[in-house]
Amino acid sequence: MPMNVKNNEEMHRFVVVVDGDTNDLVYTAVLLQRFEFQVCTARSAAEALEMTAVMPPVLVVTSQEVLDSSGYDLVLRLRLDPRTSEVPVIVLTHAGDLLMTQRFREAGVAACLDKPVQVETLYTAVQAAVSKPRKNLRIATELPVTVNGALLSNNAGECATVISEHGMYIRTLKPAAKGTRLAITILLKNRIVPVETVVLYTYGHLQGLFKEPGMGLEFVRIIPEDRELIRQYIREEITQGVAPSSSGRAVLPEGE
Amino acid sequence: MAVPILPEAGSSDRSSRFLLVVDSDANSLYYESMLLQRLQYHICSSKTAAEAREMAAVAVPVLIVTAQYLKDATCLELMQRLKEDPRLLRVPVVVLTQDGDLYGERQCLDAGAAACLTKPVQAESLFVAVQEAIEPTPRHNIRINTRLPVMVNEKPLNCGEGECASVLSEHGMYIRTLHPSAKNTLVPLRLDLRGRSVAALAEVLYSHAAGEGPFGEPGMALKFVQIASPDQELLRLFIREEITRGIKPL
Repeated sequence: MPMNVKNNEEMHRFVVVVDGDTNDLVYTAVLLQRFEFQVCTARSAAEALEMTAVMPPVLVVTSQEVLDSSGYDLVLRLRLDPRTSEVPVIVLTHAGDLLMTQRFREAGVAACLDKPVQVETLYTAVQAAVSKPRKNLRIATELPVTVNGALLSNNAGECATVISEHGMYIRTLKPAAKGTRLAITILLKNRIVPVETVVLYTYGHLQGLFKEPGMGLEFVRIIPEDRELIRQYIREEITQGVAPSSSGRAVLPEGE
Repeated sequence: MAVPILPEAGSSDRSSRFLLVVDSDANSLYYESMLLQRLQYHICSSKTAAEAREMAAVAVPVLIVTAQYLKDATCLELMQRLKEDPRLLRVPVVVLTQDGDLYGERQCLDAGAAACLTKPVQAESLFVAVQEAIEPTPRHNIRINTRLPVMVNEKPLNCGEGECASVLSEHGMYIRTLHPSAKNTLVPLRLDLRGRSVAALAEVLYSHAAGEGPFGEPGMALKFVQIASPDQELLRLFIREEITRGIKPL
């Protein structure tokens, strides 16, 4: 896959991740790279400040505990430096430490999230801190689907190519018109998930010249258990091979 | 924006590969880390050998890129300590050495380093060294996605409609077009690069007509068979500048 040359704004999605716990550091750093940010990692406040002096990041994600001082000291020092005083900071705190959370909020951090941080929570907080907020995590996928009872030709490349818990993009040469209601079933983890959807937009074959033909769908009716199944699927895909310290699992399987 | 899913372990997709970058100089660490991420690898960065060992023990990387001299150890010491851990025994190490330190380079290679590159490392050298160390079918040229206007057979493609050179390397390109030429056709090309006109004769390696595939991007892949050396150098420079934009070392 060739490297994407994007515009400057996209290229500078640079985030510094700070955590005294190596396992959590790797976990958060890999997640952020999967969210398409460019990351440098540091285990101490001193290292983090050295890195932010090299290049002011668009975001700092720090643990409450870092090696040489505390996440709180780091936040204060970032605020004192004119180059980083406006950089949003997300703090990963210990669950239930309300006093510390209050102090961080008073220091002006963008968000305080409990460790171990959930993927969706981190994604939403990061989106809110650095860009136009997008509430739901979307992932690229290749799930087989049926549309109004007919199975799309997966062999020919027709499938759900993007999915979130609230909708999907189906790649097909025969997209339905905008506003059409469609009965979809998704084959997910050996289960059949039925959803009622409405077509939000379509790209016909050769329409938009190089757009992938297909249709963007919003789920208008889905039972909560099935939505939860989709949410779990997305979470599992995005955390594949990584886990925070508290899970007791290795971070990345050997050889990946 | 869709988030890519990491493929299964063992896949050749670079986004699934986790690399460890070790450098005690913050500027260099930033540059090397950014460069590897732009080459589509996942990384963690570390300033000391001790941290690197701790990190590698938690998450076994497929490759370690380290500076020759670290705050708390030399790369030789780091490599020696890594070898003490059976899980890290076979992890290749690329060492970034000081310019002109031939003796140091020889020592690193004798100690089992996969490659030694001089600092500040060039994007192309790093790309090739990483490819050769960990990829089953190593590539030798960086390819970038672009949207360069291009003329084919002296006719400009319709850039407004999305027709352009969409992938570029110093040896070829992919042209997105609804009117691709047949395989093996020789096609004269001209593209405008930073105000200079670059001309080349290229051979069509394969093509996708619209609707063929059915989701392959219509267009044609071309290999340059005739291009002037200064033009090829210009392409190389363009690619290097694009990939290091905003992260050049001090």
